Amino acid sequence: MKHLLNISYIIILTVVFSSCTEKIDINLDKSESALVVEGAVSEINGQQRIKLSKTAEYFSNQAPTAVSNALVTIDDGTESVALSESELKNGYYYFPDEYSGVVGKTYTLNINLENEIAGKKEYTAQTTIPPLSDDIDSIAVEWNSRFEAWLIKFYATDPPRKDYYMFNGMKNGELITDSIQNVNISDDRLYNGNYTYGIAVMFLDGDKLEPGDIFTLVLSNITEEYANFVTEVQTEISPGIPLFSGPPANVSSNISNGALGWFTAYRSAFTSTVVGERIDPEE
Amino acid sequence: MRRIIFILIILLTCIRAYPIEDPKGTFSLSGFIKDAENGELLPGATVYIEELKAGAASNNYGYYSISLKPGTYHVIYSFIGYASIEETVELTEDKTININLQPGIQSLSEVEVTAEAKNENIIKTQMSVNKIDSKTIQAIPALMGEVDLIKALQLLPGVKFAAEGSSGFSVRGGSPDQNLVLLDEATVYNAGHLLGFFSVFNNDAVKSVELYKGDLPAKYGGRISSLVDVRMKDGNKKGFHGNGGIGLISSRLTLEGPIVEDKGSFMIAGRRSYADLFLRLSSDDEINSNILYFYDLNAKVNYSINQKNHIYLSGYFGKDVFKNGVFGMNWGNSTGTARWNHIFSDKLFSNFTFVASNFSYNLGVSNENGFNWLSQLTDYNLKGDFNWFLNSKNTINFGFSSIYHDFFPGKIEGTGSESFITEYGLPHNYALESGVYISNVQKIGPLFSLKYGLRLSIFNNVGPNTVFDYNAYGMPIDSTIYSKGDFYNTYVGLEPRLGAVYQLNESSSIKASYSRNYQYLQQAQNSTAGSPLSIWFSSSPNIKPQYSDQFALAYFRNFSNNIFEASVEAYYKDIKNAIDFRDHAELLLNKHVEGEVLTGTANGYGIEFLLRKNSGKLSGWISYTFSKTYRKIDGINNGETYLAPYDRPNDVSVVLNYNLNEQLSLGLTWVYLTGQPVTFPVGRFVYGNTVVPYYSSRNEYRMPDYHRLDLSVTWREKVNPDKKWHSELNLSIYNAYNRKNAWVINFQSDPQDPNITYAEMTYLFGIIPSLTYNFKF
Repeated sequence: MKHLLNISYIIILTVVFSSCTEKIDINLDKSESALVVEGAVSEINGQQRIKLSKTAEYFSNQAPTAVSNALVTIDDGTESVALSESELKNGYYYFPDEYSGVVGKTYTLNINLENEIAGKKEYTAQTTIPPLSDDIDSIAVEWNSRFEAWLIKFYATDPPRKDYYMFNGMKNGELITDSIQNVNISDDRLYNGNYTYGIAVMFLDGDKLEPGDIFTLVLSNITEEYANFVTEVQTEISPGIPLFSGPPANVSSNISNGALGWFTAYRSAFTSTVVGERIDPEE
Repeated sequence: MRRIIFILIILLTCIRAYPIEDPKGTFSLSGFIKDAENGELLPGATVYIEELKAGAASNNYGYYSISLKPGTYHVIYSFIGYASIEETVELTEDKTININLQPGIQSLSEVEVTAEAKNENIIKTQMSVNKIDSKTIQAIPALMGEVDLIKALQLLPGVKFAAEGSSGFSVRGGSPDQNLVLLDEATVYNAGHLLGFFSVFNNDAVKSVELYKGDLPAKYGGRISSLVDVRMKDGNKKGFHGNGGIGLISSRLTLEGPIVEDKGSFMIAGRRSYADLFLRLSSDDEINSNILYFYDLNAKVNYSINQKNHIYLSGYFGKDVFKNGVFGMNWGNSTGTARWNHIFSDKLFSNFTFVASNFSYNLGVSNENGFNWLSQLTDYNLKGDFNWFLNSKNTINFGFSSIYHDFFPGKIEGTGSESFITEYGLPHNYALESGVYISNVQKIGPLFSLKYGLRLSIFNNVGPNTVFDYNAYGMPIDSTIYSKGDFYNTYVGLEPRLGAVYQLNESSSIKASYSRNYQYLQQAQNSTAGSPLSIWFSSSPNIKPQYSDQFALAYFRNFSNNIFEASVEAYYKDIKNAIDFRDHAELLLNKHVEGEVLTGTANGYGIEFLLRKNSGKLSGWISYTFSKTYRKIDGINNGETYLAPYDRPNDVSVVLNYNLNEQLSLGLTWVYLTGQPVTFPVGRFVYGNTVVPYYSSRNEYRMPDYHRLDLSVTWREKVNPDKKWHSELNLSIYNAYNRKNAWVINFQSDPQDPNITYAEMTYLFGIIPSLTYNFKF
């Protein structure tokens, strides 16, 4: 809903006023560095891993420093597994190959660093896998000539409980929503317990898909807290407009000891279709 | 509650038991003061008795009354911009004298300046108040030529715009929703058109505007920062006239005239923008299918049944409409006011008012997946106000007011055949906001005057409603259901308003005031500039009313026979239950919006300097304000004190108008403001292949300072008594030296390499010239 409003404001602003932008020099203070954790128990290709890095000065203009040689374990309440750091990518810790999450289970992440960051060596986080809404009929990929974009429409029956969804997209098996700003987060406030009648769950730029591609919509039921976290990140990285943006604020975290980032776990439903020609059904 | 009423009664009897002079053996001199040319009533005109070196002012309806011992008096009637009239009155019985003052606008320099009568700013107990008439507003260079009352107010000391071009404004560091904006006694909940870039007030329909900064008359309440009291023109009682204009943004037309000569008159004023008419000329289908306009309509009728009974009906209807393809939205205010003035006796003047007002917005999509979203706020207000001109030393005001609020924060429903939206709505919320007040302006000796008053405000939440309990994180944990008509929650506020003036000599005085104000409504909005999609919500079992204490001290001094007015005013303000919102608050379509509210304290102080010249070829003012505003709220900035978003310590305004000759006049405005406090990132991290900022403490940094120069030239057609039609051409240049004032600073990642980050500022307006043609007949 927020996004709909943002779009409407931007349209009005551009119609009415020709505002201008230019780069400006700002002097910023230095900040203490902190541990950053990005991790998931996930079925989506390449997403099931724990990534450790450090914060940097805002204008440092470099990739963040990876945190290597940590002891990383995941505990699902019955067994604890150790993750192993990739030899190719520093700071990436991978699960055993056969590892997969179970709905309803609670997962605990434990991190033990080789060297202290901000005076702390041990960090922990916990999350639970919510039930999956997998009563999906179909999806449709429609061309919209007005925006020159692909519209992904979703036909399913929403269960009568509070659900939080994360939608990802895959083209021929490859994740194309590989950046958090492209992921779509939605709650079921407006259609809880109802049929979704082809609600648009994703916009993709016209060049992201070609006719004949196999498009897969990945629906994941996530926790309310993770949904809030992703929405916060998306808010903080989009440009502020004084008319409706609230004051900037740090995104939340579920990692202990002042570390940043999020540890999440979810199950996903995959629905595929073949992309048709660029014909707008509205015309 | 009973105790408070008891105190009120005591106060009332105190005043009565303290007659400073024997009211027996005195006669009253009373009547209405009007404009001689159009019959408009003149509020705030002064009546000065030379023999007593004392006087009185006319009330909001131009009525005055003074009690005097029998005798012969020289009475001077005067009003700024009008030629004074001196009358010799032989008072042997109660006397009614209606006065018609001749305006001297066309040649300001010719107006005779009467020293004694023009120092009302020195004598009056009221402080922290600024008055501007519509002629002064007209002379200020305007953005896109759209003359704007709110923009004029923003140039006064202690008043700052919320964001460039915004109709939202901050008074003495307060939030925009802490200003009570009244148009003919009706509350205007959203004073902006076109996302707030233009105000809803059509200056052609406005008679005058008064701004009270914190020290509100006891008659008014419900907001803690200020009162903006806008009065519409009554309509010309002498003859049929019109005026209007064609500008860059909109065209205006106002018609006024008598219904029955000297008995009743009407005024109707309309305005419509036409940006969409230009859009239609575009060859691009994307653009020419857009609809974008606003309009407003002001209408007023008044009728004098006899000398003792007058009736006024006025209304305002305004709307903004925007449509882009299937997407559309509109929002607007409508208000209606009915008033009845009744003079019980020469000494007791009364006014009864009934107001209905509504603010609503609507947005939706009109295709097969369509939906519609509606939100509105409706008020019904009944009030009675009495002016009791007890004797020449005491003027007592008392009355009551009761407002029934119906809040409807929002409902969204599917409208199309394949709409996926089931209806989702937030319930109506009802409240009753009442007040009774009594105040007295009392002269003690020739040099000292006091004003003291007490307002008792009572706020009730009325069922049906479901009230949630929240935990420390704002999550609902329990709820209570109240049935229809159930007064399930009550707050009572005792609001003393005190003021004193000590006149040092003819041309200088010292004033002091203390006032407490309660506020029971606020806006669910955490953006600085404010948007039309605002939701008002009331105090409740979860949200205690905000209240403020303001202490102010001032020195007033006039120079050169009152041609120059100067003042220095210092204030300290303390607010309890001050409101702010949680980080990442969700304020729209949220059933649990109360869970997003955090409360704490706020305080501020400042000193305001003003030098003003009201008459002569060169008129205008220069003001400088130094001020600070802080907030301390648990849950924000780790509970540590932070700067309010409206903390802009240095504020300079220069507003000048120079009448070169009868035909040409020049206008100049220059403003300077310290940059707005903002939160900037000090660090960053990468999550999900995206650079995420990590911020400083709240409002630790500042935007670059703001300054801007506006100029205007007005050419008037030579006055020709044979010709009815008068033309006027106005050229305005907004931001004359093309200063790029940052509207917002955003931090961006380079799309090629997200690890390269930079800061980017957006500025709204470069140099904008505009031409407006005005006419009157």
